[in-house]
Amino acid sequence: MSDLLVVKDLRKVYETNDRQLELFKDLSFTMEDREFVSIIGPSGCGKSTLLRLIAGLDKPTSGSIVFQGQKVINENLGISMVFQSFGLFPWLNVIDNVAIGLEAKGMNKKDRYEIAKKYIEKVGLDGYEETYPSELSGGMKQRVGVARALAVTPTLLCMDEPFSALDALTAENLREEVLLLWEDKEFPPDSVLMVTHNVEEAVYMSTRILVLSEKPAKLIKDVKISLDRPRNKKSEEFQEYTDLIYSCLT
Amino acid sequence: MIKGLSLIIFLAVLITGFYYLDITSSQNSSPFLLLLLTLFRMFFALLLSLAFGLFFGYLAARSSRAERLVIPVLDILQSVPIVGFFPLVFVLFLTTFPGLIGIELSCIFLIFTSMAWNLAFGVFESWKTRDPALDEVANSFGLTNKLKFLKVFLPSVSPTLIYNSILSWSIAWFFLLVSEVISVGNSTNYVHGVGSFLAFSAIQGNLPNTLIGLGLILSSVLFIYVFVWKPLLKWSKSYYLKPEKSIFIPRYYNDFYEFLGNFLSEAVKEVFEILFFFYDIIKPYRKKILYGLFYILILGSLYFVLQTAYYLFSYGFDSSLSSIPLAILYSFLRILIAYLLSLLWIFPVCFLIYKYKLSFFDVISQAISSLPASALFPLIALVFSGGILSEVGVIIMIMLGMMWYLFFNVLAGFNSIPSDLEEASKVFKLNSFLYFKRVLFPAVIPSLIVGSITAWGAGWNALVISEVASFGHTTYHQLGIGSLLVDSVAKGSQASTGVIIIVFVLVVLLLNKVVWKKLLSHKLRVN
Ligand SMILES: Nc1ncnc2c1ncn2[C@@H]1O[C@H](COP(=O)(O)OP(=O)(O)OP(=O)(O)O)[C@@H](O)[C@H]1O
Ligand SMILES: [Mg+2]
Repeated sequence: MSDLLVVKDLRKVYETNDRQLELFKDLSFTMEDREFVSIIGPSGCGKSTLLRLIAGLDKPTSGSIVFQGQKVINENLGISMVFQSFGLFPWLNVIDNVAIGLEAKGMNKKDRYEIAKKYIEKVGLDGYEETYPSELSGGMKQRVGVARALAVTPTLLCMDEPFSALDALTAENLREEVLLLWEDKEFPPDSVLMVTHNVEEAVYMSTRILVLSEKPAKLIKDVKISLDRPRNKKSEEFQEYTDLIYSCLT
Repeated sequence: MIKGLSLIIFLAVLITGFYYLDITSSQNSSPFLLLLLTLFRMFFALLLSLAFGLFFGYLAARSSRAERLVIPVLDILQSVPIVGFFPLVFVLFLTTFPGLIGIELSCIFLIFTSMAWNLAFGVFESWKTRDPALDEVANSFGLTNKLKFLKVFLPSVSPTLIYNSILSWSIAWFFLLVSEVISVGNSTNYVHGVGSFLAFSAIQGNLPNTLIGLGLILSSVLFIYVFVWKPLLKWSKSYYLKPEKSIFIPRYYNDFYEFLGNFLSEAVKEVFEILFFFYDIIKPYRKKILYGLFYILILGSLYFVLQTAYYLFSYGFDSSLSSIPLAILYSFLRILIAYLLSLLWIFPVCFLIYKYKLSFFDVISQAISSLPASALFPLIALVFSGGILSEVGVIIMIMLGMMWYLFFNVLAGFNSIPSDLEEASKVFKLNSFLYFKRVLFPAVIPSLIVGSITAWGAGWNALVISEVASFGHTTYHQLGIGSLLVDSVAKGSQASTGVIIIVFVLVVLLLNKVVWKKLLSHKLRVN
């Protein structure tokens, strides 16, 4: 296995008029191909910012981020993102929102609608193709965001709290869908980087969990989850992992 | 209470001082004194406009019944050009308060007519499109009406109020030359002020005095912009509620303005508390009062139409009336050209300002837009006179009068694009064409339409000071509905003035109904 993503000595400082906000100090970690990494940390410690830096939406103050052997400077072709605040275009309906990345690739209308439909179905929104975001619930918007990120078949899928607004059952189904796509060697995404507050979800889905501290965020724990899939949430080992993560957080 | 009361007393002192200055000054007083008088007058008119805007904007946004009544009336009033109010002014003030007070009131009222409408529309729009969650929060915590007004309504409309006050202020400058010279029939009253000073100097062809007047106006505009509007604007930005925007609002303003802002907002709130006390007294009769007001308005307009008809029958058609259709066509074409030319530079410039975060230009354009373009008018008359050149002058004037509405609305449209959409379009690699089609265009179109409506309204209004101008003996006079109106007011011909105003209003309303309302409803469907 090769290194997919190398984050080295990352530092990010936001300057506002009256104060300096230091988010990370010498944050380093690597992520290998075919990994499913979850990031857990206190609210406001900079998890979303970390994803935005990795996706090339913002620049680090110092340190480097290398993706597939290349330094991330701008938006990266192989990375797609599920935004914490959804980031849906209010003037596009669901199918056009999902298909926007495909349209950007120059795909014709018929093809991109076909693909978009497939992903809309995967997230359980069939029948809502023509609906506009303002008429969707929070959880439905989130699912549109997930479908849109999957539809562009990224190498690395970044998800910022992708299941936070969903009911237990829908979240369960969507997690399985994402896991299926990730496990399937034929289909992208090959690797996933997910931010979550839900410890159980992280243990259930990930191959590794990174626990971050309060800001300036440091890596306080890097836990490899070696459990067989499908994982049993009731099993003792599962409990041990969740307890371990919880103990790092408190 | 103390802060509120002190503010009220302060205002009372201002008014007394102003009146004293006014009676002791004359047309030959120092231009500085005249400038001071003008500033006072504009300030009072702005206060009146704010009160008007708050009241009617709130009323229209609160109940749909009121909306159906208020919005069309505002629409009509907005489309009446400023000289169109002269007959009304005559009836309302000059005959009831003869002498200085009547003239002064007329002048303040005319300035008010150039300031009030956009404030009311602004309040209406922003209160109508507020975050509904705010109401639910207010209701769930059981806020009384009064508390809702103070804690929810005022803060939510404050940015609009400040922003529109700046606009109103520059429009008032734009029309100052007209508002301070009240001519009804054969008598022309020069109100003591820098506007009339300028107008008078221009008519006499006195270039040094014209330049002095211009310089005074320009420097006061800049001064007020830098020391009042700019800090206020920054202060108001801290009120903006943009949940989707992950932009962190820096704390701009320094301590003095912070203090001033806090004091003012406290004082204003207390003034409202005091007003609420009186409001509670008249509350049982408020419906009657309101309907009464509207009946007066409607009856007044009816009376106006009938009276015009009567004059027409008794004096016959004025020969100038036959040129109305052609005049309207000419004026329409002029506005259209000015509009297209404005769009041509505004769209790219706003895009660049947004894209490269040239907030510097933002400030510059704010300052430039407050410059009273019409003050340059006599000079434009001097440069562009004769033949096709005059036509160029007219179009430049109309552009100066209308383009800032477009500019600021388009810029606001760009700036309202949430940052997560920008990021999403980067993550999904939209190329420039798609980015235009899918992000920029749809985001800007609603504000472009709103801006166009106000810009066209301003364009029609600007006609009356664009189509005729003179500097000494150099005059230009282009056929158009604006120049027709100015002529007939100058001639004191009530019949033709009436007809022209009615036609004017009808044309503007027709355009509103046919073009803009259609576009607007389309926009609402998209969002
Ligand atoms: N553009 C910005 N300018 C200034 N400060 C910012 C900016 N973006 C984020 N911050 C600050 O950075 C910190 C981290 O923000 P971030 O959104 O990354 O947190 P988070 O870990 O994702 O929190 P949550 O779990 O609540 O989503 C916050 O304190 C925030 O105020
Ligand atoms: Mg976050």
